[in-house]
Amino acid sequence: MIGAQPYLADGVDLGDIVLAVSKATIAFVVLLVSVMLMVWFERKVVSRLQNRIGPNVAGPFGIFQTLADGIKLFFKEDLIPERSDPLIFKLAPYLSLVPAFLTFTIVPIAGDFNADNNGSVTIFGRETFLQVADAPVGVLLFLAMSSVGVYGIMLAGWASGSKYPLIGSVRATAQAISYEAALGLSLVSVIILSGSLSTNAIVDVQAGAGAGFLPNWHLITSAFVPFIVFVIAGTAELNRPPFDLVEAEQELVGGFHTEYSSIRFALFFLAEFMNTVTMSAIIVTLFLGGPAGPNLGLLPGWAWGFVWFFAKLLVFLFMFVWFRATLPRLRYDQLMNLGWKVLIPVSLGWLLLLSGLRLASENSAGVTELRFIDSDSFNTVVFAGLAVSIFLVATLLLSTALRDSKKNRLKEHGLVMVDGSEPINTGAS
Amino acid sequence: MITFQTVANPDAFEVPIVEWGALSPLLIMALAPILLVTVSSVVPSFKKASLPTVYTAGAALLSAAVTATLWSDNRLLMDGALTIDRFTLVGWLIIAVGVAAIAMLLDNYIVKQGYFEQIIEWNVLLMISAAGGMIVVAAQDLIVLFVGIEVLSIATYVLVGLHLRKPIAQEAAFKYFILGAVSSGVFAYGIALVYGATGSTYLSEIATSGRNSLGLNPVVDSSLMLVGIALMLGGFAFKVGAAPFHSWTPDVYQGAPTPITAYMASAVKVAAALGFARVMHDAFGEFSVDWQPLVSVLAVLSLVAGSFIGLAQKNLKRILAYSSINHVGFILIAIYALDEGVEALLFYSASYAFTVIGSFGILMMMTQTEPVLAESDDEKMVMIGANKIRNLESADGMTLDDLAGASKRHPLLAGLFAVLLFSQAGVPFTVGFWAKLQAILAAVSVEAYLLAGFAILAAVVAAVLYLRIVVAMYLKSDDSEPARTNYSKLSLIAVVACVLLTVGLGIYPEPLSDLVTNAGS
Amino acid sequence: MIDVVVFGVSAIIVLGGALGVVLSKNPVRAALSLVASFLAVAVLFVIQQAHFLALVQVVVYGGAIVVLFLFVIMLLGVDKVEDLDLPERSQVVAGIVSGLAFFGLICAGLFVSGPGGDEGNVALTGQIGRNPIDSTDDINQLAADIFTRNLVPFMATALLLTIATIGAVVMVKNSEADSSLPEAEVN
Repeated sequence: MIGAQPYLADGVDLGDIVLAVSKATIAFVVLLVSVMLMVWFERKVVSRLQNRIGPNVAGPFGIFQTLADGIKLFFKEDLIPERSDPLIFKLAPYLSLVPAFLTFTIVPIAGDFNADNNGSVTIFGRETFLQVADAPVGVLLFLAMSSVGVYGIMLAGWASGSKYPLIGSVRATAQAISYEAALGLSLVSVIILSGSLSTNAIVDVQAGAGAGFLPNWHLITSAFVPFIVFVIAGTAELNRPPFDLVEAEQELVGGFHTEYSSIRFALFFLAEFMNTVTMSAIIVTLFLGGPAGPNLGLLPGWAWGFVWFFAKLLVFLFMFVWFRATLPRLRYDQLMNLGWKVLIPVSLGWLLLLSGLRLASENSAGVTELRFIDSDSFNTVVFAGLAVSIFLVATLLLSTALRDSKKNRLKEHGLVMVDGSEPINTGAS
Repeated sequence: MITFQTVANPDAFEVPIVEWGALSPLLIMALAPILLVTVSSVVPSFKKASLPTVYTAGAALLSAAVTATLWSDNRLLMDGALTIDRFTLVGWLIIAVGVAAIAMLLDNYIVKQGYFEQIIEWNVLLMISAAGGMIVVAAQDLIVLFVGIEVLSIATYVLVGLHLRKPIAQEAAFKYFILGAVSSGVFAYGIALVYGATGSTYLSEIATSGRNSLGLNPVVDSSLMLVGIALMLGGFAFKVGAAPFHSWTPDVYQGAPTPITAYMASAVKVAAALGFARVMHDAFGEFSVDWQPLVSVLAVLSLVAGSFIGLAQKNLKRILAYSSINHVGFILIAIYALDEGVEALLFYSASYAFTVIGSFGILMMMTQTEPVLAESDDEKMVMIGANKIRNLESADGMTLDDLAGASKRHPLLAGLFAVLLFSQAGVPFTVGFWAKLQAILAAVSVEAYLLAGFAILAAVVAAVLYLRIVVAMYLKSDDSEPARTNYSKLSLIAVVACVLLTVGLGIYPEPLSDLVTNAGS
Repeated sequence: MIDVVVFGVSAIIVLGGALGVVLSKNPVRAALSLVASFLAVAVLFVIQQAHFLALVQVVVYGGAIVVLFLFVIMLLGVDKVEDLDLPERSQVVAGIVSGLAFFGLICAGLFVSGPGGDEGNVALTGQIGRNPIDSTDDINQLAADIFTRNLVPFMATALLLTIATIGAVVMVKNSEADSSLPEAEVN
């Protein structure tokens, strides 16, 4: 994203390079350390939820357990299966890791967003944001990287030359493609509200107080639905429980990384947890105002940004661990039903609702520049009525069509539907 | 037309005014199928009987009627992306009426084949495809044109292969799809190069494309433009099925369900030909010296290939496929003649469209079809595998021998068929005569005497092609007992309407020629 | 300066990837070369300040289309060298000759010109008759373009997607009653 760095526009000097390199390094280190802690945190919390103690030997509270595991993995024998495609087999872990890191570059992790500040700080006499890059299309980078990340898993499964990894990777790809649509659509709701794709601008819009004592978070201004869809779809994108069909131990051994060992396995492991941290950070950025929060004194403003960001991040990290400890895994058809028949229609409908509402409110507020419908009669009240009636008609149509198709399918198999729910066998099949 | 500057303030851009009235024929054709597919998924009884056919024919005729009410309009729509003029309206009328007739034939085909499963989808795809064709005819922008062509052709690929129980249909669809995709790629590359040469995709802007600061005209001074025109020419030649880009035509026409063949030979071909003419005239008019030789070569090759190779065929659908290549030759002559040929082009397209729909319709009605039994999955795989391609010649459809004694078995159909074949041959007192005459006169008026000579020669050879069919029907006898005539009233109405038009306009062509006058402007 | 370096590197990757697609004997590697080519094209878009286009290139071509290619390759099991029907020698020669001829044609189109000299070609002069895109605001530009000048193609694309969906569904729908029921409904 060289061209995307605004300060490259008029020449590059040493300061710019130092700034860019140090930002990238810091982000990488922060991410690695947080992954290390995340693995420990996850094991510890899951243990507690299961009435166990968990890691407690390496260091205080077993906090260095991950480090120990990592070192062990580094020194293990590196196996490359005979039937594999060696080049792609070696390439796949990096294809997984690099997008995982790149996504983190757009997350603002600190900064003062109070009053008129837009989160910028001055380092080396340059005004910059506390994120590696503020690309003008920032949020799309997230989507792009999540779709590129699929390659790592897919190729790992294919290149292993064995069947469990292949099945795992096919499942992973199908799952990622299905849920990416819902993810993107709920993202668009946020973009409509903030009017920008830049992550910094998205955080800036959410800074300050909203209605009453509530913060001005997109979580609230988009009325929760996109947030819920995003969290569910995000969990599925991460292949974390309850959507971990990809590596369902009972069925597929280890899924796509069954054949991997040593450092290559460690890289996959790292990428997976990096993705968890990044996804939580993205959720915080998009829906909970990222580092925006009140300045309570004592610390400089940008540092309070970090505190708020970290506090919010922890909530989601805990949520993902909680999911893992408590939710049973979905069946494959349930997974596809949820993705295609629930999440996509809901997020699409909500997107239409939000954009229509915005248009209507601008019309009723007398804003004349952005006129698609050349009439004053299209105001919020009319829109609300319209939305409700369209919703009713659409629900009616959809449910009739679903019922109809189910009846047809049952008929083909010699079954009839009695009360719309339970099919009984008439013995004709 | 409003010219757009890039806007600094995104809140200030003006959305083009949608002129619903002028667009309504297109909108009816585009939205009716969506309504159909929605309603039929909720009301299962809609899938039975001829209801979808009546719906489709009704919507198409409504679209045609609305087109007729716009008759005196001549303006640009949607900020110049589409245009409504006589040329567009004649094209819309041909497509809409054609769709109505084909829907009636399709109904009969479905009954004859006993293949009711996809009855909704046939109609839906037919209408959306036609909407794509209407976009092509009205397009004033190369991007609109391209999207229109894709809507038109992708729906047609599916329609060709929609008879899932006939491997030959799926094979034809696959061939058509692969070749069509390649030709679309070539066409899109041509558009890209033309854009690279001129900086615009609007036909009018390409034609006058702004002289730059040096006072040079990119249109005149650029060889990049010529390469672009050549590629677009190739793409169009494939879509209209002109030789030497015709090799898909016989296979696909034979493999496709006959009503769909009729659709490809009429509405699809007419839409592509009119779009072709529009682009060549409006955008590349200044380049006529460069592209006219190419078009004339295409025309001569189509005339020769259509008539001579057609003589070697036995299968009736293949014969008619070659005859359609021959017709393309005449259409290309009309395109070659520029402004002199516009009326001939429209006259030929209109008369050709209903003649060919009638011909394929009768062929479909005459064919003795047993309901096709479901084939095992195994056999389908054999069809898809590259090594075992079936012999298309013998796989499907009637041959000339099957027609022996047809005049006894189906006296009415044979008579109607003969009239349509005479029209295609250009016998006087049929509309085909006037159409061919106009095309040849257009060539003469631009002093392309050689081309006119070829056209006359090809017309004579092609006449033999048609006479063979008539001879087979009337002069060869067959002992087999008269078969039951299993065709529906709807399809008979469609075919009889085609024949009446052929004869009526053949005797009194003024209404049609009035319709197409003043179209070139 | 940095633009030139970035352009050079990504142009090499674009061309190398394209060659890899044609020359790879393994379908999966060919698909991966295609991805490399697409991603480098995205970088080319970035240095033209078309950020949105660049990411759409990555999401749509890199992320969706080639993933589907790979999906089909893997599911059909044609991922081995032996599965490829390698062309005949004469076909290869014909392909190279026609490719070179086409390349020559395009070069001629670009660099050989009529009486006016090269200045006429917009592709060479970069004059496209409209204001160059404002570097910070390409998304707004794109939106404005889609909803004004390119409104009709935008809407016609909706038709295209509709038929693509209907066509795909109807071609794979096997109504011969062998569609398997989800077990939940059969009991």
